[in-house]
Amino acid sequence: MKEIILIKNGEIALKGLNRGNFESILIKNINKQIEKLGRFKISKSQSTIYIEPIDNNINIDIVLDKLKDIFGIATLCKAFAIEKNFENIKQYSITKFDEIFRNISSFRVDAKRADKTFPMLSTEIESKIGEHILNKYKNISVNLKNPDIHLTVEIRERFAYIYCGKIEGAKGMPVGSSGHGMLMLSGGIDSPVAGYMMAKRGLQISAIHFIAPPYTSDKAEEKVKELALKLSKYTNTIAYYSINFTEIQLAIKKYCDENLFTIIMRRIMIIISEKIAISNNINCLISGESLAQVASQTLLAISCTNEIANMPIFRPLIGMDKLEIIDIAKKIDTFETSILPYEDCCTIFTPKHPKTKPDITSVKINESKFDFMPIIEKAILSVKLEMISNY
Amino acid sequence: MEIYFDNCGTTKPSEIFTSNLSKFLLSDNYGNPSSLHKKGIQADKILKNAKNILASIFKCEQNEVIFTSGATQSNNIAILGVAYKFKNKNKNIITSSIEHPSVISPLYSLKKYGFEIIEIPPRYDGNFYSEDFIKKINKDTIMISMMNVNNETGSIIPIKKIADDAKKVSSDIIVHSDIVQSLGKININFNELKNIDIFTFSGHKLHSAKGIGGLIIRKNVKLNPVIFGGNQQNSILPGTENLPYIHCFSLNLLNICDNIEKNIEIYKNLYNHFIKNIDKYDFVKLGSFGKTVNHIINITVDKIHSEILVNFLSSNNVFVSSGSSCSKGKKSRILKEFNLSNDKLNSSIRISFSTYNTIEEINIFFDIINLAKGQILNF
Repeated sequence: MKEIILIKNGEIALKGLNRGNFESILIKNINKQIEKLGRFKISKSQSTIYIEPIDNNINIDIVLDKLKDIFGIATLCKAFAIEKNFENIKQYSITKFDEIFRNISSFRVDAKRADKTFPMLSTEIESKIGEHILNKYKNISVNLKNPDIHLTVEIRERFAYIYCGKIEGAKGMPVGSSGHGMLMLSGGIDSPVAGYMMAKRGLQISAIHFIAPPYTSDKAEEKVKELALKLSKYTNTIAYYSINFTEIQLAIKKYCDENLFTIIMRRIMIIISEKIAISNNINCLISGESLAQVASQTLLAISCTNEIANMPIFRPLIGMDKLEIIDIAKKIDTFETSILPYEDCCTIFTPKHPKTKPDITSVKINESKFDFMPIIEKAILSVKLEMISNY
Repeated sequence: MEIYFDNCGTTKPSEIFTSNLSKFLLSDNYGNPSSLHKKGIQADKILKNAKNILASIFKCEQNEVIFTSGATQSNNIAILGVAYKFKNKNKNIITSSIEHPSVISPLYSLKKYGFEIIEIPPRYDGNFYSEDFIKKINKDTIMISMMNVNNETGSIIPIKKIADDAKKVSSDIIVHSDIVQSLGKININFNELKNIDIFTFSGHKLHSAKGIGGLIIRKNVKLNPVIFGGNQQNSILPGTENLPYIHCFSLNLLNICDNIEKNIEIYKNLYNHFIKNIDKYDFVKLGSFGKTVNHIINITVDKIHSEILVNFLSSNNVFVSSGSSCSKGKKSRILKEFNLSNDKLNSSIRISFSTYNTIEEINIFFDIINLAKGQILNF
């Protein structure tokens, strides 16, 4: 008898001929997350991935805990791989799940017979095992429609697998299967959530952050790196690009209308993010904007910032309420870090009365008051790259 | 080159502390002072020796010395210990309005048990006066807890006068003083402070490592313990004593107190030179007012946000603090007590010296402040 983990693919299972590619990426991601826990044999068959520990000292519950955060996994469970004979199956269906059966009132047995040479039909296995359980536990009954638990028996080529219950996985698509996006990461609550949501759709995530020393502190940037580290639990390694933005902010403040400061700043951030993205084979930007949350996120303000972009900008939070965003931030454990008091401080730069209905013509007129390109190029040259990873 | 002007936050461990520590850790002195065997007896001797050193400094008896993990633990033990002892009798405690969070927080925690906490603010001249404390004493007053020197402004509270006056009103009142920022930095005549029943002190503010501090508790003062365990340290702080730190802290403190006159002279020179420089730059002003010590100076730099200035100085390897390090950049509760304008609150930074600082460092500091004024945007 061996303890193994069975993983059921989510959306990948619906894919056509290229399903194999998605599965290979998922297996690679799984490998990265668990390789430090010991040696495993990972194999796939139909829409199931089997993870079998090779080393004896592996704690299977720790492995399960790591796996439940990997995108592309719909459900997962601990299963027992046992020798393929009916007496054996009967025995393990009780001994391994005794505690569960003592605490439920209804169950059903599902049998799947992939190995057609096995001498019993699926329905036969189901009824015989069911009967065996009913004989042992007097206070429970069979409920085919809405049971408390499913006991599943799979008869496969080498072993019979027996398992009970399942853990919900992170779902979505395997990270890296949909391409590569550049997350505009601030120290706030929203942008890490935006990165998480796009990673769930299979994007590999890199992150860009703008610093403005001395107006922003080293501690504020440490906080952003901490957020990237927490996010990397879901996204694999994050390439973190840090750009010194001070000179640009000072120039905007000096040459442009105060009420357009944030819009122009965001447009320049997009220019820089795109340039860094292009030179690193990244094909989209990701932003934590949520419609109407602040002055720079009104429809007209977003139109103005969007106008400068050539790449698609994904804004997964656009239709979400702040409280919904906070709920996700709490779930992915970025919230407590986001609310630490090291702001991207700059009350000095924030306009007192930002324009909520900016028009692109006046934005462009303002931008033409100063030749920003040389200092943009200089800022791009200031880029610092750090690989941030959880494993 | 680094310039460290944040010595109220913490200090660099001294050569005496570090060299003795490494020697101690590599020696055979790893025994537990409570053990009955020879190893334990040897350890107990070292502990007693450290207590004797502190007793000689504080002019007290060695069994009145309690070693703790630092001032926060000391203040909690002192305040909660006294309050719990008297909770069924009287419930009035007087304190100053500029205490450290490790005093204010345990005091506030007592409010839910019906304690009345009276906070005495400075007067308009920035000073504290004994009569302001004394007139608040009533029949329910069990304790006065006050710091000697404030960690953000350097303001001095006249602890001797307040203690003496309080005991004249009622000898039952327990007087506690947190002397973290004054011990080893100004001249304290402990022979004259017999009316102070409990002292709090810290190691890392005085060139020892983090993790060591203590209390002096007069033997006639009985506290309820707030931490329970074995019967070490008069059962006030159970747990095996941190002997390596206790040993090295005591040697280090003895050295500092032996050289106190010389140290005071160093602080005086640093202060005078600093003030002379302030006079040269019209955009730099003294932030605090009233009577202050020489080793803590609060300044404001006109129209420059303190946090931005701290970042700028840090990028030039000059380390100062905006507000107290313990409140991590929040607007200072203490400075508000001195009725500073909002502009001053926003632009206030704290310079705190150790005896390792030099006149040359002050000159460089002002050069960099001058540079900052030219480069940083005004608010």
